[in-house]
Amino acid sequence: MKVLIISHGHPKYSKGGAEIAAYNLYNELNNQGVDTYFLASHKMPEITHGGTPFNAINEKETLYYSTMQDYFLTILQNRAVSWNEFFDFLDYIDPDIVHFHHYVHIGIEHLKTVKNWAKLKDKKIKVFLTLHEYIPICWNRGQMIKTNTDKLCYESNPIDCNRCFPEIPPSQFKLREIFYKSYFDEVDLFISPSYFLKDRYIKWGIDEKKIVVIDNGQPKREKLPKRELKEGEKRRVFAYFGQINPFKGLDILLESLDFMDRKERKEVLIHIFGTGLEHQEDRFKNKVNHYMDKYKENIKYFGPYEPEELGGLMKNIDYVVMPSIWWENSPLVIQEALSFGRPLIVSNIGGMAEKVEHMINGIHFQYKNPLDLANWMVKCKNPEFYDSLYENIEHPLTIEQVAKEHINLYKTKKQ
Amino acid sequence: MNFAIDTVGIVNEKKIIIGWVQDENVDIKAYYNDGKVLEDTKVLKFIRKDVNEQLKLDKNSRTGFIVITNLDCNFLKFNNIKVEANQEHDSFQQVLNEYLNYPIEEVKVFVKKLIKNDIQAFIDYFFEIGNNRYFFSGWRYSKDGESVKVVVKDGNFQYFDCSRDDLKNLENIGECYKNAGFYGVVELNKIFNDKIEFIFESNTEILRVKKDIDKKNIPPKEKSQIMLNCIDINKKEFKEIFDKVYGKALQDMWSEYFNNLDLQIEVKSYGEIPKNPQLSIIVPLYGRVDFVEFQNAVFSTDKDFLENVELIYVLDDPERFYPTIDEYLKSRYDIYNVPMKLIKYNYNLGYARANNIGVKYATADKILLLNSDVFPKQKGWVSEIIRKYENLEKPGVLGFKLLYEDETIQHIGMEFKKSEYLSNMFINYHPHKGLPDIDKSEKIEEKEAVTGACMLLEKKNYVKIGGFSENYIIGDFEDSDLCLKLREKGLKIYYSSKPEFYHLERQSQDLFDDKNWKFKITIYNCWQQMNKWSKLIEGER
Repeated sequence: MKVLIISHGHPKYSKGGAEIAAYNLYNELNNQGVDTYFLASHKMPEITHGGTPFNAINEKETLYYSTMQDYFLTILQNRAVSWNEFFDFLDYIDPDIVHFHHYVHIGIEHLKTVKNWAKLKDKKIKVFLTLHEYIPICWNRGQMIKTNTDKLCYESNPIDCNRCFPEIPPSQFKLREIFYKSYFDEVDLFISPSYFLKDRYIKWGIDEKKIVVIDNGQPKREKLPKRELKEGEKRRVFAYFGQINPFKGLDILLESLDFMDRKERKEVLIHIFGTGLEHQEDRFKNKVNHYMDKYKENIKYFGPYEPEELGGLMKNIDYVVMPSIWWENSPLVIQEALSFGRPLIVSNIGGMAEKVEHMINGIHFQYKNPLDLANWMVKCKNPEFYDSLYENIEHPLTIEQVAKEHINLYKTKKQ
Repeated sequence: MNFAIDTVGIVNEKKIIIGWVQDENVDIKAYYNDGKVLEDTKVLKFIRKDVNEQLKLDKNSRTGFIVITNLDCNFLKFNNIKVEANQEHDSFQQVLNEYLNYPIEEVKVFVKKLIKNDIQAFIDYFFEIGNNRYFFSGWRYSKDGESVKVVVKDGNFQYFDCSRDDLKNLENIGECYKNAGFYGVVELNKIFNDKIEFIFESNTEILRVKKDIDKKNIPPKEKSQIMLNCIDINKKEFKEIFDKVYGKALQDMWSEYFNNLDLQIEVKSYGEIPKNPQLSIIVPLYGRVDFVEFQNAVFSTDKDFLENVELIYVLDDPERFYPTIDEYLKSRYDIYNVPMKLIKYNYNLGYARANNIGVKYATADKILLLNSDVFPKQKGWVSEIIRKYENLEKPGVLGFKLLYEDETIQHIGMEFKKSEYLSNMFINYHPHKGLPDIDKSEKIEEKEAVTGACMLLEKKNYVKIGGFSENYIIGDFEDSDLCLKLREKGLKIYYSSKPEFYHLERQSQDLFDDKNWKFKITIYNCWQQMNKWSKLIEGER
């Protein structure tokens, strides 16, 4: 059995959660003796060879230069060229399983290209697709929140989508839906990293029997000891990890300091690890900067970090806070925190509420509500309270386990 | 008897002759050179002191005269004495100016009025519409508010008034803009130098305007637009306009246009069309060719479709897509592997003709006429509609439930409905359009007509009735007309609630920048349908 994993980026160049998950799976499948190949799209013309979109990194990893013309439909610019050469690539690898970890950048056409190729070769192949955001359901970057109010969206339909994007007529959204569904017909099995996301896709129209939940795996890690406290010190270090943008809600976390009295605030430290603030629009940037300035004593900004540093950073914090204002799916930050043995405080919606158990290994606060978050943070400072959460943390699914589950699915005969 | 003509000249398209005659009671008349009296001549007689003194006449003798006549006047007659009045005199302007200051008030006023003309007029269009008939339109009004009659010289003409809101701001127009427009059709007896004379007459004044025939090649679509936009359907007479003038004129113009096209048809295939297909699907393409992508995407995962269908796209939009359509379909075929035929030609022929051509190339017994913005909701629909059709009694057409993108009803059959707003003509009515699709039951019903957006019928029947009628303008009413033709042959029109389709209608209907025109076309087409089918339509009620 030969497996081809197709990712919308290589972690070497792009460190998103989905790319890392795809790459981890590829490596682990090979470790477990499955002959697996990795194809990752990129948008760096400077590293391409003339006359081909491909350049191999090594025997098993290949980069694929793609230019996406239309993000509304995620189709490519130069379609004719892309699939002729794609056939050539498939001939060369000759996979039995093609597992897409995305289609943005890659080109959704390739869901059909691989099926057309198989038909031409008279070969039976299976196509898998791991779902990440809600891209076919929502044109607002697949986030399922309203464009003008940032309110959560529960179910899309052409009329409501047009309210978010008045320049696009409702019928165009219906076409988009028809389009994606016809492509998703080519997929034999969908993998969803969360039940929440699975339910959203079923509600949208994917057959329940065609979608399976497997979380993204984490490397096996030792649970870190609790941070050492000085005499009388509280569990006061709350950390934020990851991209800084409005969807991730860092501003809610900072604003929570407004809702603590002076004494309470004095016992709180917020550590920020991540980047991206400089790319955000002014309203958000100003709000974050305002609080950083106002509570200099409480907020420390550490900037970007490499995945390898994570253990060291986690050692010196108590809680990881994830205050996202969109649904999320299966956030990498949650997986990492749990694997290092750190309890979380998360928004009470979507993938976050699913992956963290309230009052077991973390806390759910009322999303978008800094007052509720402040109340919980004050409560969480109590070292005994912390200990009970800490003790309950179990290691999330490992990459090894995830790969095993995938192999089982790959081997299952088509229904 | 002594007399003299002092001067002859032209003002405001009228010939003015000034002179004197010894006998104030003499009868002055103006004539053509063939001896015909010019009836619309006006004569003012007044006291000429200088003449009376010279000839020693009574000092109050009205010996002076000013004659206003039309340009064709060649001579005057004083009783039986003929006097040439052909040549314009160089002195004319000077003499006229002297009369402006004439010591008699009556003369001054007369001359002032002569110089000034209250009638304003302009001819916007004058073009041929076939069979020696010409369409004309323009506007006119008189600053003094008098109504102004329009005459087309040397022709049998009929014209109608219309409002011209665009003239509201003209000097002294007042409320006259409401009736300032005119439009009509004239059959010309003769044309001199491609010019035709329009005469605008109020009770007191007259204005002549010569207009060149528009020689530039205006496409019939544009001509129809110009003609139809004149009609004010709020006026009762609009139906009469069609009955008497427009109906035949537009039909002739279009059929002459189409009959003279040098049509070059090309046929191509992409992929291998199934042998002995169960169904030929004909999809005309106009405007949004990218719908092909979405239809292909949907068809590509439906095995039943791929095994049974001959898919035919008819490109009816050569201006935009003639050179690119081949490559476009080829690359879609490479992705979707849906075999298809392409028929393309070098003119935009409209929905009816596009389908009529498409059907000629259909090889299956059954044909489905499908719009490019219609998408099936589920797989296996091809076999289902064929099975349903085959169980019908005397089937002419089978239509289906079409839904909008918001799942509301677009089509569940059509009814003819009397419209009081449109002179009691019957319009094609889509019952429950835009309402929620409550009735989910599976049923087949007989209907008065069904939409052409998605209709299943047999090719032999289609051919027998001559396909879609080609005299409706730009895609409207052909479908109901087709149903009526089949009903006339004793066949029945059916609607089935299953399978369902989406019809994203708004997308391909945006062919009209000018909504007013779109509406007028509908009215015209509706009139045609009534003209042809009123017995069958009304007979049911």
